[in-house]
Amino acid sequence: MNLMTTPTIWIFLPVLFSLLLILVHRLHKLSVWIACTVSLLLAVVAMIFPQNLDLTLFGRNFLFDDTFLILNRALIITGTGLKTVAMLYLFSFLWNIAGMRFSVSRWFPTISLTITALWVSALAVEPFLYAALIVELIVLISVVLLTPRGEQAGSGVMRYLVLQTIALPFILLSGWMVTGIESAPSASTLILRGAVLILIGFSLWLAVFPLHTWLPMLAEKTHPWVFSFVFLMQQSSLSIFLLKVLDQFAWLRNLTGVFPAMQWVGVLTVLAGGVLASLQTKVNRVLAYLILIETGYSVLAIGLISQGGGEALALSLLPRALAYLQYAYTLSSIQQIAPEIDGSFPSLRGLFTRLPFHSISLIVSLLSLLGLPALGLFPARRMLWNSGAGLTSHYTPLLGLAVAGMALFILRLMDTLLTTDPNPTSPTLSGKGEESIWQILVLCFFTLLSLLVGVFPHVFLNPFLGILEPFIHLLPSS
Amino acid sequence: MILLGILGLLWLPAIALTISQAVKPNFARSWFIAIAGASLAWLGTFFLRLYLPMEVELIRWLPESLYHTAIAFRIDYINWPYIVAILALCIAVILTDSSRTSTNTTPTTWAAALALTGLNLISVMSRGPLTMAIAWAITDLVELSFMLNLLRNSGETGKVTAIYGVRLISTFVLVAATAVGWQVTAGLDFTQIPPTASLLFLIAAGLRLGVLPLNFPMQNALESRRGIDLLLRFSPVVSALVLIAHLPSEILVLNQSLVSVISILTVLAALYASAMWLTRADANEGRPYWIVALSAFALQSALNGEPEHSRVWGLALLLTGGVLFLFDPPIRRIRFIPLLGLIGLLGIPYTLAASGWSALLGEGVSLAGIVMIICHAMLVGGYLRYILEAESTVTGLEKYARITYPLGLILIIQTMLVLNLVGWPDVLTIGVWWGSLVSIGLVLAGAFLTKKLNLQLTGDGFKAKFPFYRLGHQVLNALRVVFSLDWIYAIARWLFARLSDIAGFFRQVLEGEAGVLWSLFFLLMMAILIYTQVGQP
Amino acid sequence: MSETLRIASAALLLLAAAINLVRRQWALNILALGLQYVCVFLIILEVRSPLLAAIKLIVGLMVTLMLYLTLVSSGLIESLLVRRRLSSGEVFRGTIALLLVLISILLGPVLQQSAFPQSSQLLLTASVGLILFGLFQMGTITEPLYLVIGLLTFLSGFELLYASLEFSRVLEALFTAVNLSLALIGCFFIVKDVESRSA
Repeated sequence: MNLMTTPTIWIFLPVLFSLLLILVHRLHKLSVWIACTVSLLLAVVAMIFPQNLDLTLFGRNFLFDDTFLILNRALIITGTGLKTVAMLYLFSFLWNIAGMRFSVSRWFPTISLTITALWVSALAVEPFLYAALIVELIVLISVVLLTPRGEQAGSGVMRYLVLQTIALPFILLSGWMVTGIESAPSASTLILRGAVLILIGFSLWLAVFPLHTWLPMLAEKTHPWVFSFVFLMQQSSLSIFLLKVLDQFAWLRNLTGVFPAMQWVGVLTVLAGGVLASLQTKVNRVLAYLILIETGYSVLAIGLISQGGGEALALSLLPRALAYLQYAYTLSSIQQIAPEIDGSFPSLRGLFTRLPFHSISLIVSLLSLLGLPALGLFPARRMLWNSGAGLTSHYTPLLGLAVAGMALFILRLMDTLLTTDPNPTSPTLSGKGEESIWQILVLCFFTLLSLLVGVFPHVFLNPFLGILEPFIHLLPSS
Repeated sequence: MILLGILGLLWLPAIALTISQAVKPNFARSWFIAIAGASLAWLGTFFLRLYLPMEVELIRWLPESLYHTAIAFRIDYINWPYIVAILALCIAVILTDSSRTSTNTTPTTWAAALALTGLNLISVMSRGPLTMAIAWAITDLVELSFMLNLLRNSGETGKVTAIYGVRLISTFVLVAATAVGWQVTAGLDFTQIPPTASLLFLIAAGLRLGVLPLNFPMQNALESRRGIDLLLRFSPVVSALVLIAHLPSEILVLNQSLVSVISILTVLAALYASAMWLTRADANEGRPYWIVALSAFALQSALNGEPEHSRVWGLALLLTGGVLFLFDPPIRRIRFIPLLGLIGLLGIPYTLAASGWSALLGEGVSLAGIVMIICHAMLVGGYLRYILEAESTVTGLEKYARITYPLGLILIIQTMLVLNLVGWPDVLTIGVWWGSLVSIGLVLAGAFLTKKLNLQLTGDGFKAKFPFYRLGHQVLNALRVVFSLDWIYAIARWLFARLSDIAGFFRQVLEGEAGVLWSLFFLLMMAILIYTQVGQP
Repeated sequence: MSETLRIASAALLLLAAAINLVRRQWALNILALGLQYVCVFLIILEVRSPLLAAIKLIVGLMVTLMLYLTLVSSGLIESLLVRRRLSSGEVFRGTIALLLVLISILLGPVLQQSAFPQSSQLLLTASVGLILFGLFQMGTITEPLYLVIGLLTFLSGFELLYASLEFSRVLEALFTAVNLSLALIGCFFIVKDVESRSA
């Protein structure tokens, strides 16, 4: 068995470290630091690793293999695929390092590292159908994190488990059908069935509208830090996985109507997310709708792949993660400083007078997710809006409505944060100076970073275009 | 290089002031730094005049094939006068602020004024809509933080939401307009705006100006007497005016009926705002109406197919308005200085606004043109009224303020005169001379009647003596109710409440016990939809 | 294995799944779950060697044992011999169970003809039955034990179907990992539920 392979470094090594972390999970700081160091190292190494996998270190040559074989099945991480791996470990690092001050589960470092390694393996496994079971394992592991401490498992987490499990047969059956399709390309019924199974499987995984009902239920009960991490990883990995499937199967990408169907699913998901977000009165639940909207944009981007959607998707990965990070960080920090704030509008009323930097940070992160010019997500959003408008006139008003819905929520939240109750019932809102210099610096850093990414996308985001390199059939020009 | 120097001259002193104020506060030194930075920047703009039109590319998003975007500036005869005007206002604000004992002026305020002016310049100089959208967004965020900081202790922060909301919408309308324009020319700049997108651009600008639809989110906020507040109020207006001036003149070619509707709304906005301007208690109270009325003039010029000439009304808004609003305290002895400010508004031949008449009135004599002349007369009348009613005899001014205060006002007048000479080619023109003549005639007639009947617009005697006062009052009140848009907000609130109820019901159903079964049902529907749609030729 | 035994296994399998759907008696449900796995083993012998089929049996029994031990440790489990009258809900679910059995029997031949010609009708009936029972169970109840039983039933049904289509050792290993993890999660849910009840 050849161990000088890329999967050994980016799948087995982190899994080994997670096993080690199980032993030291009671020493929270130590496990966080181990998880951070391992994630950062793996991200950096993946970023700088030579594409031909021929590594020269201290004058010696190490030629790595991109394939690890287990029982005739393969885990393949090619040189071009390392960008995605780097991104996933970067996310793991960010959530571990920034989340150190929050009282989330003791298991967070262990599980976050495991989840990351499993997502990498889901993207690396061949044939792709095995990924379905790996995803199921990720879901099962995530459930431990998503269940709030000291409380019974809510119906949201159960529904999450149920619907993600239902997706499993669809992907597995489609994988089985693919074999038949490859040998009989003209069998149109088979192709249609295979396509329907794959699309349904992905719809369940990604929780597109109207299969998203568990998302807000889960967000309401789960710690925002955990929720944002789990679903950022899921969203990012599954988007890339969908690209991989489309790249691999010509019968799927050549089937008439597949991409328009994705466009419509994407647009309707964005619309549902925007409209439903506008009606919310709990900031924790809104995190779910933010995820929904971003999922919609991802699906739309894949649907618009021949109009530059792939690039829009790649460019959105980092700023989206940063916006989630900022939103979840601010929210978690608010709830850490003032545990009596449950995220509902009445509890947030007049918060600006007490936590001005947190209030502004919350708004800025939402504006970034809205796609406000100058903030991180704008360059990617603009590409999608332009491509959508160029393709058909139907998308523009729907996307406009979605943006309006989201903007309405932001303004409502802003009004709540800024308007002080004339007769304050809670004395907690009268306090001042509760933000430490460190917290203020971190929040300002997030805002500044979002601005920098928005104004200099070619500097910060272009490296992420490399994520598209492996998809040579789907994006021949990349 | 000069351009970057100008921005540096604004931002570096702003940073220096903030630091010096934090480390070792010194009022005189700070004032000197602020005034020196702003003055040098202002003088620098006159060097730019020698190189017009010029382009500066700041950041190019590469690869070109992917982004089609560069953050770039273009300075031409359309936006150069605005640049000069903004900088003149900035200096004037710093010069006059020290004389206002009623307000709390600090070096931090001057730093904010310099920073804000720098940001404003960026949006004014934008080469294309994307640069402008980015500049708008950043400026709005900075202003938001600034306003929140200003109002934090006053408990009036709630009003900021409405103000920011309108700005946010206008930014997204601008982005939408760019997306539409993008279909014709990828990476379009202001010289390539297609007529198909021009209406959206116009609406974006109209929203920011508070004209389309007529909205006064700032009506009750920030109308304080501080100079920095004037800059805050003018800041979103200037870039929107520049956007209007850049619109293609073929705007009328497109969708004639829609253009007519917008034109009617604009004329109504101008009429309402100028009537309100004329009848306010003081200039400060009338400030929002001044802005809306002259913005409507600029919009109407664009709708008449001469967007380029809208700049004269924009400049009148800034400069003539600037003189009046900074004339505080309104010292009787020097009221001749703001009176000179009328040069920028009257539009008499060979003055700055002369070329604006043809754009405002359109071709031939039309009802809209007549209404606009009446509006103009009301604006002039109001302006005269606020100056002539100046009764203050302030004696406690500091020695230096006795020089700096009038100097600030004179600087604006001077700017008008300079622009009158070198603002753009053919600035010295006769224009539609009878427009200003009729307007001045109306003002004189009004003044005569007022004198004759011994009327005071805000006094009780006016009600009794002025013919049709009650009718006019009723009409104005009705218009105020309509234009306050409260009824739209009420309907929107009602709709929102109903929508929330419906969403609540669906939430209960979908998140209840049978939620998974509902999801399975949706899944089945999706499968059927995909099965029937995908693969069909 | 004789055809009669296979039919009897399938019938018993559906009966066990129906018991889990209808009755709300923990001890009985655990017993039915174990029985379900035994029946799956017997049916799967049609397509797998006894050695490979035994993996599913062992995993299934382990899963059942884990759940049983968790319930016992919670101290809330009732004796199997406790008799309770049928509630109206149970009667309703019983009717649904009958309907689901009927649908499974009807769907078996249809599916064989249209999608899975290599699978036997009996196997398809059993797997579709389990999938439907699992789905219904998951869709109508949020109590952790029943939800996990629903999930396990659903997965068993699908594993049965997939076993007739394809064989892969990696897949078997992953299915085993999923089943065991699911049981662990089930135990985790039950413990949390019991803890919050007693708090």
